[in-house]
Order: sequence, then C-alpha cells, then structure tokens
Amino acid sequence: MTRPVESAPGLRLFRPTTPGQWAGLSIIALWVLLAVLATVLSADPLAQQTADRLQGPSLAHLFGTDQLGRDVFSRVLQGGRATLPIGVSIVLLATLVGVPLGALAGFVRGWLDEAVMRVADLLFALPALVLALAIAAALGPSVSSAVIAIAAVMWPRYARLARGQVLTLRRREFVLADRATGASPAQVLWQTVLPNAAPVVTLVAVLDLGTATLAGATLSFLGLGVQPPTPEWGAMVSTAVQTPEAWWSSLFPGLALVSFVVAVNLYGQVFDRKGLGR
Amino acid sequence: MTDLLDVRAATVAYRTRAGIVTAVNSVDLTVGRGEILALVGESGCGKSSLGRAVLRLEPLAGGEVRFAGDDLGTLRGTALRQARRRLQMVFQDPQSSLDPRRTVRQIVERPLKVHGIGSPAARREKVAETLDLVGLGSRFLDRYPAALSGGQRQRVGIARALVLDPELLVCDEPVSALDVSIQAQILQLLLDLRERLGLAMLFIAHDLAVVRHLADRVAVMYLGRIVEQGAVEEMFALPRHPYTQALLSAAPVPDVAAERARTRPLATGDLPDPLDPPSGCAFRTRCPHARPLCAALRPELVHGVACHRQDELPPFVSPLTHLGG
Amino acid sequence: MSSLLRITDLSVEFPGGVRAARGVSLEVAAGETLAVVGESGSGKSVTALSVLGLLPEEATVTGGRIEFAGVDLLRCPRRQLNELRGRAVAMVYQDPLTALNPVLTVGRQIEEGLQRHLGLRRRAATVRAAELLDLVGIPQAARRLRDYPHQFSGGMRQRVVIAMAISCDPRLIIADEPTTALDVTMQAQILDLLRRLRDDLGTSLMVISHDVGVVAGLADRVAIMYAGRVVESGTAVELIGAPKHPYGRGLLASVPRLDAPSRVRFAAIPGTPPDPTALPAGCAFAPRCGHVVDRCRDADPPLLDAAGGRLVACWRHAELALGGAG
Repeated sequence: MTRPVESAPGLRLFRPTTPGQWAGLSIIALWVLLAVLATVLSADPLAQQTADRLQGPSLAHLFGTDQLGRDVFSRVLQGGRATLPIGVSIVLLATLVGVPLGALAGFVRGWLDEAVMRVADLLFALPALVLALAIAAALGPSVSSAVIAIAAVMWPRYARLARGQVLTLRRREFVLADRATGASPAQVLWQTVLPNAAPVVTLVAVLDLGTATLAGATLSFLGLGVQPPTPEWGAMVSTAVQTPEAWWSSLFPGLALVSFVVAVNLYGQVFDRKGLGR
Repeated sequence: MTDLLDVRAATVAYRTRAGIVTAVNSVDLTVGRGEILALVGESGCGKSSLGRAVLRLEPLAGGEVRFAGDDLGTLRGTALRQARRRLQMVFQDPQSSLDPRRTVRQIVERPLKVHGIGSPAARREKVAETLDLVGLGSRFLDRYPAALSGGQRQRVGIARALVLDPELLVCDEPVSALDVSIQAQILQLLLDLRERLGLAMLFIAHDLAVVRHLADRVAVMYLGRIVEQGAVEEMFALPRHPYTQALLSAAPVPDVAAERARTRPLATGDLPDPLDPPSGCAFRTRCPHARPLCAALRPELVHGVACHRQDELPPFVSPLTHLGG
Repeated sequence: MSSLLRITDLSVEFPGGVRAARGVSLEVAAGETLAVVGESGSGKSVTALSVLGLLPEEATVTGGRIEFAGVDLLRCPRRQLNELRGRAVAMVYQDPLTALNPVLTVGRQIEEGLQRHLGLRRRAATVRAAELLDLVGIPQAARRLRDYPHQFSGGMRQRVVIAMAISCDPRLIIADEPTTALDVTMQAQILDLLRRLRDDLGTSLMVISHDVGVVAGLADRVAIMYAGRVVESGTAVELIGAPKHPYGRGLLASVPRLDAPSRVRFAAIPGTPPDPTALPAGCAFAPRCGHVVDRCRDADPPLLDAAGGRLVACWRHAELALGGAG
C-alpha cells in the first residue's frame, strides 16, 4: 500500500539528482571559488599598461588586455566579485520584501490583500527594465541603487507567488489542525504555512538568480550599476563594444556571464520536484 | 452534572456565488462527560461544518457553543487559547491533516510548544508517552508523514489531539479514508482511549455500522438540521424518522441472504439543492410518507424526532430486529 | 462450463519494483456476476483495468493471459481491442465526474458510442439515448440529453455512466467501485439499478469493491484479493457466510455489523498490508496471520482446492476449517 518514501524536507532538498544539475552546481561553485580567490590568482585589475593595450591572449595575459592595457583575465576573475553578489542581493531583497507581503496578503485577505495586489499590478504593468533604469538613475548610479532598482521591479513576482501558495495552503487540513491546537494566526502563518510554501518560492528564486545577475550586468552595461574602473562583467562587455576587433575583451566577460546564468538554470531544476513536500 | 458541550441554536452559513447556503440550521446538541455522541448524515447535511464550528474553526452565524459552561464565542485571546486545549479535533484525511514538512515528533510536540507548556525535556517525555498511548513506538519519532501508512498517520493525528490532555475530541470521519481492516484498529483505539482517559467525543460519521458499535447517543442530520436523536440501541432498533429508516435500510450488510431479500430503497430521488431547500420538512421530496402538512410546516424535534407523522407511521422493521436475534 | 472472461496468471508491475498483480487468475461465466474484493494495494483495480488495456502508461504486464470469448486481449491487435471496448465489454468507473467528458452533453456522449459501435444514424441514436436514460431512472430523459455532466448530481451522473455502459448491449460490464463515491441512500439506488439491469439484460458483471456488503447482494461468486493475488474464491453465499482464508476471515470480522445482536469490540487485523516493493518470501499474509507456521513463511501457497468449488490459498485451510469458527 505505502512504500517508505525518502522525504525531501531538510538540506537533502539541495542535492543534485541529474548530471545537468551537478554540472550547474559545479560551475556555480567554480565561479564562487574563483571570485573568492581572485586576488590571489590574478594581478591588479586596475593596473594600466598602456603600452600593452589591446593585445590578444598570450602567456602573459591569458585573456589579453583591454583598451586601457588592463589584464582581462584578472578583470574577469575579479569581476565575479562584483557581478555575483549583485545577483544574489537582488533576489534576496526581492524575496525578503515580496514574500512576507504576499503571504500576509493571502492569509489575512481584506484590504491588505487588495492594496498589495493593486501595487503589484501597477508594477507588472510597467516595462521592467525601463522602470529599473528610471529608479536607478533617480537614485544615482551605484551598485546599491542598481540592486534596489531591480529588486523593486522583481518583488511583486514573489508577492504574487507567495500569496498564491498561501491561498492554497490555508485550506489544507494540516493548517486547520494547527489552528485547532490553539496556534495564533501569526504562528500558523509563519511557522506552518510559509515553510510549506518555501519549496516553490525557492525554486523560482534560484531560477531568477540568473535573470537578476543579467539585469544587474545590463544596468552596469548601461552605466548605472557598477562604476568604472571596478571590473564587472556587464560593464566590461559594454566598454569592449567600442573596440570590436579586440574580440577577447568582450568574449571572456560575456562567456563568464553566460556560463554563470546557464549554470544557475541547470542547477535550479533540483527544486522542481513533483510531490515536493507533499 | 452539566454537560461538557452544549450547543444551542448553532447556525453556520456560507456565501457562495450562487447565494447563501445554510449548512447548519439552528442545531441543538449536548455531549456529557465521557460520552460519545455520533453525528450522522450524508454529504451536505452539515455535520462537518458543525464539528468545525464547535472548535471555532468556522464562524457561527447564529447560536452559541458552550464548553464546560463557558460560551466559546465570548472568549478572546488567552482565554480562547486556554479553552482550545480542552477541545481537540481529529481530522478525516490522514494524508492532508499532517504537516508534510514536520517529523512525527515535531507534529505531536507542536501543540505543547504553541501553548508554551513544559521544558523541552518534559515535552519530549509527553510526546513519547502520547505516541505510546496510540500504539506508535519511538522509531516513528523522526519519520515524515510521507513514510507512514494511512493507519499510522491517523494515529499521529490522534496523538496530536491528545497531547494537550483534552476533555472532548471532535472526530471528523476519522476512519472514512482508511481500509476496512485498519478502520477497526483505529476505532478500537478510540474506544480504549475513552476508557482510559474518560474522553468525551463528538464523532462525525456516515457509516451507521460503525456508529452502532462506537457511540452512546446519535443525532441524524439532513440538510442542516437534526431529524432524529437518541440512544444508539433504541434508535437503531426502532428508528422513527423516515430518513433514519431510509439510512438504516440502505446500509449494506455483508450477508448474502439479507441483501438479496432487500426490497426497494426507501428514499427516492436526490438530495435537494441546498441553495433552495424544500419548504416545510426538507426531507419531504424523498419521503414515502409525505403529506401536504409536511410542505406547509417545518416539524420541530418532539421526543427526539422531527416528523409530523411520527405517531402515525407504521413501525419500521430495522435490520437489527429482523436478523441475528 | 464456458467462461466469458478468463484471466490466467496475470502479473502487472509498476516502476520501482512494485508488483501490483502477481499471478491473478479469475473467471466470469456467461450471465454470472463475480465480485472481486480487497483493500487498497490488493491489485483488484489493476486487474480490472488490465482487461480493457486501460492501465497507466508506466505499468507493464509481465505475464499471463486475458481471454474474452476466446480472444487473448493482451495480445490481440489494437483495432480488435478498440472494437471490443464499449461494445462487448463496458466499464463503469468509480468517479462519475472524471469518467464523463465535461465539455460534451450527456446525450452526445451516449450517442457517440451508439453511432460508432452499433452504426446507428444520428436521429436513431438520440432516440435510443433517451430510452437509455429513462431505463436507468433519470426523470425527463429526453430533455436531460442536452445537459452537461456538471448539471447532474453525483448519483445521477453514475446513472449516466451506467447508461453509457449498457448502451451497446455489452456481454460483460466491469464495475470498478461503482458506488464508493456515493452516499449510502444513493448507493442503495444504484445497486438496485445494477441488479435490475443485470437481471433484465442477462449481462455478466465483474464488480470490484472493498465493501463486502455492497457485493453481497449482487455477486454469484466472490474472489478475495490480497497483495496482488487471489487468496480465496467461491460462491458468494458460502464465502461471505464462512470465509476460509485467514485474511478473508479477518476482513469479514473487521467489518462492523449493523445486524449484530449486540455491541462488540472492533476486531482488527493486526499489522499493516505489505510493501509491494518488498513482499515477504512465502505467504504475503504470514506476518499478520494468527495461524502462521514455518511452512507459510517458506512457500507462498497457491490456490488450493477446498471442496465445493472453493479455492483457498492457505497451507492450513483444511485444519483451520476443522478447528471450527475462529
């Protein structure tokens, strides 16, 4: 009748199950490692040797040099230290704002639900990137404003997601049972309902990591995120566009970005399980 | 001795897109200490809604629920939480009534933590004790519901309900979702618990045979009202309301001769639309004994039976008196 | 005696090593009603679905034969199976809501079958469909042909499903838990209907159920299944009155009886049904059996002859019968 099912809750949730997920996780881990060890593994990314500008890949400069004579290899490795945290911060901020709001809206209903959903609708109606640009420009070009701007555009997604989950979950018998034992509504929401919404939210958040990283890179590309001379993959591609014949100065940072985003999408599948927390 | 549970004129209504459905319509019932009252009826009769309303999981649109003398409707905050400890519920579906992300230990401990009872060590002990009471060993502590069978899950649900040492359990069809051979295990467990702990129960069910062997008193519901109530043995031997008679005669019995000899069922047709119930007696559209009076006037409960013609109707031969001595 | 349906040694497996059916053998004679009784995990539904090739994709039939009027349904060409389905063999499902197409009127659904299997023209099909709805007790049949499934109540929907099943005069109807989703008063009506139709039309019926009371009124013969096998079979009167297999005994004893002379303790079968991926060697019921001996754990008993057409899969059936009521 029933067979013992290996249950998902706990850290086992994060364990890759397919070769694709393993590959994704490895690449993410690799980039994180490289970012951490970047200063050890590479030279000063800001050092300009104008005599050597726009040199192709060589033994001295594995990825060549850019138009200011800076070592592209060093800049790519250290660029990860800017690009990666941006993506993570954006998703963290968006979920920290969106999930509680959406969960409360779905649980409490009434005017709070109306208010949150109307604001979310408004934000959905406007083109995301344009809005992010506007906010970032208004806040002044910097890393934090880029993060805030993009998170401001992304939070409604999590709000709606969390709300949907909570709406379904609050009718389940185990939630009713929790109320019956005398738990306060706050206890029921935060301790019982939300942990059961976590798997779906985590899935979306992890998959969004790639999108968020790209968005951050795009803003930097447009001059509104990381400011020069700090290396950042998006910004590097932006400046490299001016010197198209020096293909190495755009290819390597571009590859870094793409590989990271693809890796995140590959690994993110691990959260997409049928019967998750069934 | 005052009754433990005293429900007066309880009404539960739902608003749907098509109108208002009165799921429970001015119901009175009582449960004494250590007594098992069964609430019986088919789908849509309101028994589950009533059970939830007793625990204030559904709001009452009218009437009151008194527990040990206190009107639960007037309690707020801490007082309500305290009251909640004495009234607990066992749910129908063992699969969805347990939090899939918590272990058995966490599920059974939760009520204690919610009320801030005892130290972690004391709680651990209480959990172990309670699991033992329901026949689950310590090896179940760290398992998740998905790894348990239906019967085991239901035991966990019962343990969760018992851990606060309640005085009354509302059991909402606790065995309907289980296999027959497991049902018997859980039913006997509930009876044993009543013996050992002096628990009272409001037992909601649709299976009359179960009720026969479990309950002391029974109330039969139809479209939100009680149509007959009384002691189990009496009612089953001599049911007086046509609906009760229909239920008893329709219940299948594992006896070939009896089943083959079965005559036409007593209740014809379908359940009426709850949005537009029949005037007067709600059962009249299916009742073989209906008269114009039944459409004009709704019968009140008189001597435990809500039927205008209760004294005129021919005595009903129930399966109990017909067979088995 | 010629059997209309003969299932021999059917074995069905699901991924993960789940042996849902392990050598099931059943027979339904012409005009007879066979009840297959068991709890969840017994393999009864899987057996029923196998007959018409309605198993889910992931299931594999790993052995056995299913012969219907001489044709091996497991090996015949697809087209032949399709012709038989709905026509010679019809099915009544547990949940009428999911068995009916929500976007077609009830009339259309019945007419489709009539047109395809019996070659009726549209108008003739409509007339016949109305007759069928009337036959199954749906008031205002002609008008209701134009209604959609959701406009019927549960009991009425099941009547529609039954109307569809009998529409092409099948020789065999397989009913999988036909009343489980219904209230008890509606169940009584549907069982009454099935009995009447069966008697009037002379169809063979194979009823799958977990409720012995439900089948007691319908069945001529009963087979009890446990853990993917038939463990006992015999005439309804004898088997239900006095089962011989320890599981059969336990099952019947655990059903609370409305007609019992007085209140009794609930008699449960200790333990839980076995894990279909890890069945014990030997008799699958041994871990829960009160009469187990070593032999039971070593070897899985086949269906043994117990006189009077009774088959019991228990090494000790003869001694236990002598020992008297247990």
